[in-house]
Amino acid sequence: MDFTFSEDEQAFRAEAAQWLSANIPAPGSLGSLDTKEGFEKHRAFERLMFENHWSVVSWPEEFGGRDVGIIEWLIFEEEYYKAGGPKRVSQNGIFLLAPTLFDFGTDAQRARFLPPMASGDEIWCQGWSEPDSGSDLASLRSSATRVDGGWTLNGQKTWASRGAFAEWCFGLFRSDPEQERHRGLTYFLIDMESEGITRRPIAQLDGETGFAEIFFDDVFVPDAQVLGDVGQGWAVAMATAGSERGLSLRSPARFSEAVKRLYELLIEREGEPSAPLTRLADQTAQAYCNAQAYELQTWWTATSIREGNGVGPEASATKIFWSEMDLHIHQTALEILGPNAALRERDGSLSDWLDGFLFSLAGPIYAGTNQIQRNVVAERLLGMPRK
Amino acid sequence: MRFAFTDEQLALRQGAEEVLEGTCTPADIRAIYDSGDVAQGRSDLRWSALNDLGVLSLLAGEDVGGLGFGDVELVGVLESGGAVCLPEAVAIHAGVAVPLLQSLGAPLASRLSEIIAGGSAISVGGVDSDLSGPVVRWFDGEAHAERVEGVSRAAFFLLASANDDGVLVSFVPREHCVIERTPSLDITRDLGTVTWTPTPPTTIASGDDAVVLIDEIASRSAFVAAAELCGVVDAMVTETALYTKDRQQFGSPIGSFQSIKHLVANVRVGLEFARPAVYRAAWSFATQDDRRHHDAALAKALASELGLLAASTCLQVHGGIGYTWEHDLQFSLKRCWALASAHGDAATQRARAMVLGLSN
Repeated sequence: MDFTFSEDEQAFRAEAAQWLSANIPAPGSLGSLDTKEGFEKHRAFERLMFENHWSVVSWPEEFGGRDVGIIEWLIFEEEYYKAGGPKRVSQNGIFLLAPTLFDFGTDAQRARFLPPMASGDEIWCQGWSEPDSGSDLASLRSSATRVDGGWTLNGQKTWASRGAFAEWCFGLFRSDPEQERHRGLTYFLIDMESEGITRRPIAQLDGETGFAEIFFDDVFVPDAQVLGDVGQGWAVAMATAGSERGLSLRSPARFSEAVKRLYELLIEREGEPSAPLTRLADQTAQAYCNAQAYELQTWWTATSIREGNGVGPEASATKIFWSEMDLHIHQTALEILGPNAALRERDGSLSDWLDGFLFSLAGPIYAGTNQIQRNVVAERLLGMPRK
Repeated sequence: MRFAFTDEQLALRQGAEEVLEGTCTPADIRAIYDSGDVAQGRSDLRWSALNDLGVLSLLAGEDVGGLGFGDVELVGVLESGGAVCLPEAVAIHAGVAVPLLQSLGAPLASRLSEIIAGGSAISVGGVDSDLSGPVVRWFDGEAHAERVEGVSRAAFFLLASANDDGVLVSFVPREHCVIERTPSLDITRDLGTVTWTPTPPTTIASGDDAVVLIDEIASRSAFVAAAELCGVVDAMVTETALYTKDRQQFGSPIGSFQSIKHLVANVRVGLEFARPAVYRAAWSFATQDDRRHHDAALAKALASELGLLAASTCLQVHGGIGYTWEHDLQFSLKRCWALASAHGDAATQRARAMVLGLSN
C-alpha cells in the first residue's frame, strides 16, 4: 500500500494541470450540451484537447492518446475537474464504445473509428433501449436481417443520449429471429446519415433535446460495421459495462469538486459549521464523506485493474453509489438555496445547481436502473437466489 | 500509488482468522452471554493464542519484543476480530495502547517490553469524541473514565483527564485503580468505570504533549472501531444472504424477492465504500501522515452509518427468529450498535472529517 505518487506521475499531473488551466473555457461559456450551438462549442473544445493529446490520455499514441495507465488517467481526471472542465460531449464514444472496440474490434475498425471519436469529429450515441425494452434489455425486438454484404436493420431505439446530433450510433439488434432473450443479438456500428434512419429528438426535463428516438426502416449496414461476432451482441454489450475503462463513466473528481462548491454554499448561507450541526450542515458532511469514500474506492479498484483483475459485479455497487451521491449533493444544494433554487438565472438558462440537479436525477435511471443494479449486487456479490 | 494489500499482509489476516475460527466460536460468545461472565467461553485460551501469533504486539518494535509491523498489517486482524465479535479488547490494546506507548520512546520502553513478554493487557479510557475533537473529563482529586473496554482483563490503563493545570495522560497499573463493571447491551465488551488518582509517577504526558497524545488516542480508537465494524458487517451480511437462500415463504426462498434483495444489497454497497476508507486510515497511521485524524474520522463516520444500517437490515430480513436470544445474530447486532456510537458516532465523525478536510 502506498499513497504517494511517483515522480513521473507528479510530472504528468503538473503538465496536465498547466495545459488545462490555460485552455479550459470559462464556466458556462460553452452553453448547454443539449442545444445545437452548445453541442458544437463542446465539440470544438474536444478537438483542441485532441490536438494537444489530452482527450484520451489512456489510449495508445497511434489513436491520439498518450498510452498512460489507469493511475495517470485518474490524475488527469482530477485535474480536469479541478480546472472546471466541461461535460465531455464525446463521452459515449470515448468511455463506452472505445473500450469495447479495444476488446472486440478489428484492427480496421479501430483505425477507422477511434481517431475521429477522440477528436470529437464523430460523436456517438447509444442505441440499446427500445420503447418496450428498458430494464429488460434482453427482450429487445429491433431486427437485423442478412443481405448481400451486410445487414438490414428495422425497428426503433429510444433514450439515445446525444442522439439528436450524433454522427454515429452503436446498437444492439436481434439478428436471429429464432433465438430469444440474450441469444441471437448482434452489435452494430451505424452511420446516422444512412438512408432509412429517422431521428426524433426528445426534450428532457430541462426542455433541451438531450436524447432522441431513432427509427430504422430498412437501413443497410455493411459487414465491416459488425462489432464482435454475429450472434454475440449480448456478450459485447456486457463487456462495455464491465470493461476496465468503463470505470471512467464517473470519475471521483467530479464529485469532490461539487462537494467543495457545496461546502462554500453552506458557509455562505450558514457560516462555519459548529456543534450542534444544522440539518443542512450534516447533509453536506454526508456528501463530503461519500465523495471521499468514492475516491478511495476508485483508487482501490484502479489498483486492482492495473494488477490484472477485471471489473466484476462491484461495478453495480459503484453505479448505485455515485448516482445516489450525485443526487444527494444537488438536493442538498437546492435545500440550502431555499425557494430561490427554483429560479432560472443567467439569461434564461437554468442555474448551475438546478441544472446539475436535473442532470443528477437521470443517474439512477440510465446505464441500468439502480433497481437492476441492486439485483446484480444481491445475486452476484452476495449469492442471493435469482428465483 | 498502490492501494492493495501485499500477500504477506493477507497471510497475516488469514492466520488471525484461523486462530479465531478455532477459539472464538458462537458457542464461546454464547457462554459469556448466558453467564454474564467475560472469563467464560475460553477467554484465556484465546488471548494466549493471539499473543502467540504476535497479534497483541504487532505494532510494537522488535526492540521491545514486538513484530515491528504497521497498521496496514493490523487492520485485517481487527476486521477478523470484528467478524467473530471478539470479546477481548484486542483492538484497543494492539491498535491504540501499544503503538502510543511505543511512540513515547525510551522512558516506557522497558515497561512495554515487560508487558509484551508477560502477555498482559492494556486498556484505554477517558477520551470521548466531539465535533471539535477529543473531550476529556475534568477531575478534582479522583479522576473517572467511563465505558472503558476490557476492564476485567486489563493489567494497565492508559487514561486521560484534565484539571486546572491542563490535560494529562496517566499510565496506571490495575492495582492503583478502582474498577466498577458497567452492565451494557453487548456484554462481551466488558465495559467499566475506572477511578484513579493522577499522580506525578503515573503521569506520562502533560501540557502540549498530552494534548497531542489525547488526539492520537481519539483518532486511533475511532479507526480501530471502524475496522471492527467492517468485519462484523461483512460477517453479518454474508450470513444474512445465506439465510435468505434457506428460508422459504410463499414457496420460494425469501432471497428471491426483490424487496429483500434490495435491502441486503444496500448493506453490501455500504461495505464496498466504507472499507477503502478504513484501509486508507490504516496507511495514514502507519506512515504518520498528516491526514490521519481526518482519515480516522472519515472511516468511523462511514463505518458507524454502515453498522446501524446493517444491524437494522439484517434483523428485519431474519424476521422473528432474529429477535430472539437463541439466535446468534444478536451478537453481531449488539456489537454494531455499541461500536456505532463508541469513539464518535457517525454524525460527529462526518462533521469532523468535513471540517478537517475542507476548512483552511
